Amino acid sequence: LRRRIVQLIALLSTNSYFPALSAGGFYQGPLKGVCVPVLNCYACPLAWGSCPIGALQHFIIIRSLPLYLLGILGLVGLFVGRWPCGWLCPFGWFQDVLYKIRLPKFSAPDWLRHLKFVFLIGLVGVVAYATYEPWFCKICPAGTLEAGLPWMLFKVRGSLFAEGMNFVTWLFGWKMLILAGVVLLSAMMRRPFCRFVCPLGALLGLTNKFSVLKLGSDLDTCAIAYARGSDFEKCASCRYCSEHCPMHLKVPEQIGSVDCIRCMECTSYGSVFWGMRLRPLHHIAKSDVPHAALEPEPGGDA
Amino acid sequence: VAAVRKLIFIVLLIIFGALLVYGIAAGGFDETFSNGGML
Repeated sequence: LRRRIVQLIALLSTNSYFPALSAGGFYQGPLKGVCVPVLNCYACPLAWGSCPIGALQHFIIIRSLPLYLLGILGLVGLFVGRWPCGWLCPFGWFQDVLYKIRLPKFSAPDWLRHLKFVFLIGLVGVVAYATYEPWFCKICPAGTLEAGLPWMLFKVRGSLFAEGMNFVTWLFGWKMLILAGVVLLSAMMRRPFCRFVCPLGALLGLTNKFSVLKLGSDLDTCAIAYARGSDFEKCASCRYCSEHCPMHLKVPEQIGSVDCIRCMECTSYGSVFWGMRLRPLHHIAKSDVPHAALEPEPGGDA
Repeated sequence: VAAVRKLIFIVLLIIFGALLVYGIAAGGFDETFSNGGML
């Protein structure tokens, strides 16, 4: 619940330029030069800041070194790694919500996680450089949801209908198709866009290895085992933590990986702790979390 | 090990901080702001 509240506050604080709703434009003041560390489209009518991936492509297109951008993302990553993906990203929150829809759930091959580096290097880097066009922005489902759809809905109102219909091109249809696919997949698997596509997640994920915020594990202090009255309280590899990981990671084996979004879900069960690398880990008292183990297991075989 | 970690942290902090400051000074802030072509 705490994460949901932070996600909501982040969503509203970065997308609260409400004058756009009546004026029909979007914010273009000086704050737009600030890149937020999440996938928040520059063209969203309510957005105050810029998307770092859009800005990165822009720097590549104008043949300029993205020093400013690397500085921002480097500093964010140095302190918290991929934490913004789990706590601040509006599109991550959107996928979290969609996953709650009651549809059949399934997993995908683990190797698909590497695809996001193909998108980062290929589409965001090489294709933008070669074509002078920000192609990732053109197909980005977050951009379609946050900017394309609101713009189209605004344009087709009343006297602007004809102008609005001009907005609906083959590219718009393609974007909508991709968004629909991501929405459907998000309802059936955990955060597919974050796991397989997001180039920003790939960039920030690289900093997980050396970020100050880190996760550690102690397999002798499992709250699940404790709550079940186990004599030894050791991790019994029940995979309860893994089943609750929004990124479908193997916990605790992959808690330090590129894909860990530092959502801290797994720290609720005792075996995994968070902490700042320069200080001792923050241990959670087992007595604080036994309720976690009393929830029914996802597999239903508890 | 802790001392090495602190040293790495300080070095990276200086590098990324310098990138940010130099990037802004070189017009990065304005160039990002000018990316209206994405729309």
